Amino acid sequence: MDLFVSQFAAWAPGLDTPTDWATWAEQADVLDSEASPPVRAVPAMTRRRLTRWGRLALEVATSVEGHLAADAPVIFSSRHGDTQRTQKLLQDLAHEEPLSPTAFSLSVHNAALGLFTIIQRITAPSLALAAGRDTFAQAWVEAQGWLAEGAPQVLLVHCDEPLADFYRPDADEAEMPAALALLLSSEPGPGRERVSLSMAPHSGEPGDVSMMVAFLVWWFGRTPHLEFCTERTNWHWERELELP
Amino acid sequence: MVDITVQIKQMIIDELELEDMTIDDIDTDAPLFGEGLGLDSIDALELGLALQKYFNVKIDANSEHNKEHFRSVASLRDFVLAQQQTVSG
Repeated sequence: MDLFVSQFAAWAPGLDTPTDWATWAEQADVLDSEASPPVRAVPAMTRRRLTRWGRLALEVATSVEGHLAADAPVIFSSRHGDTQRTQKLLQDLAHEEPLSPTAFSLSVHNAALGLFTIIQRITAPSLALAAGRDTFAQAWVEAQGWLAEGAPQVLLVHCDEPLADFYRPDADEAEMPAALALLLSSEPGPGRERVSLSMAPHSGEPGDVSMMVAFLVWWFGRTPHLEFCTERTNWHWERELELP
Repeated sequence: MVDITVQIKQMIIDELELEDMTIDDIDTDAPLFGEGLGLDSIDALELGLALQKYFNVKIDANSEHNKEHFRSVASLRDFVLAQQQTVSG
């Protein structure tokens, strides 16, 4: 199924302009940084409760939100969620310390999504998902489903960051702090890029970097195809590039 | 007697991550919840935990007086001092 991307936003440390992103895509370095997005669109009293993971999600979501139809479903995906918060809560439990009510209330996978829909007063359906290394592609498939059912638009937001220290030794792919948001539609329109995703049974070896990193490299590198192989599936993205 | 007003203000800033605020921004007698500082119910829970951690004061979750104790920095200070007196006396 062809989808049309009408809005695209991405955040990663130090990459502020499309030129920054294009330069980054040539080297495809997996960035490592403690930097965090400013999320100016989020009220200060809410912003104070966000970890970097939440800031990543809300930074890109709020930057395309102005174009969002009122009835557009919102899909948030993240492979690991807020592992900094998870680690802190579990350590407090292990040390028999009381849990922070704030941290506990925001420890679910849909925490950032929930805050986003509250801030923007969104009453359309929303869904947060994780699917291992396939997460971002599965979120895309979910968006396709909503569009096939007649939704005029779907907002797809994905964010991840390197795992918290305790889990880091078990990482099976390189991740960087980054987020992307796409406003997807089933109808073509001016300035909309046509993109399709197809899948085939897994054949090759999984790569070293996360699907989000690979997708960002592909998106800003302006090449027509992206093949991404996980232990389950071979994903294939294709797009029509505008003529220069 | 040590004036713990400043300590309570700093505790509120640190524990509730009011990163843009200083102790001078918090009015000792202004309401903490709703108007004034504009804190919410999760902040109330967080403050209850912080009082225990910083001042070893236990909050009775079912007490009708909590609303009064949590009204302002001044009322929190009076509550903490009264509790400490009960413990030490």
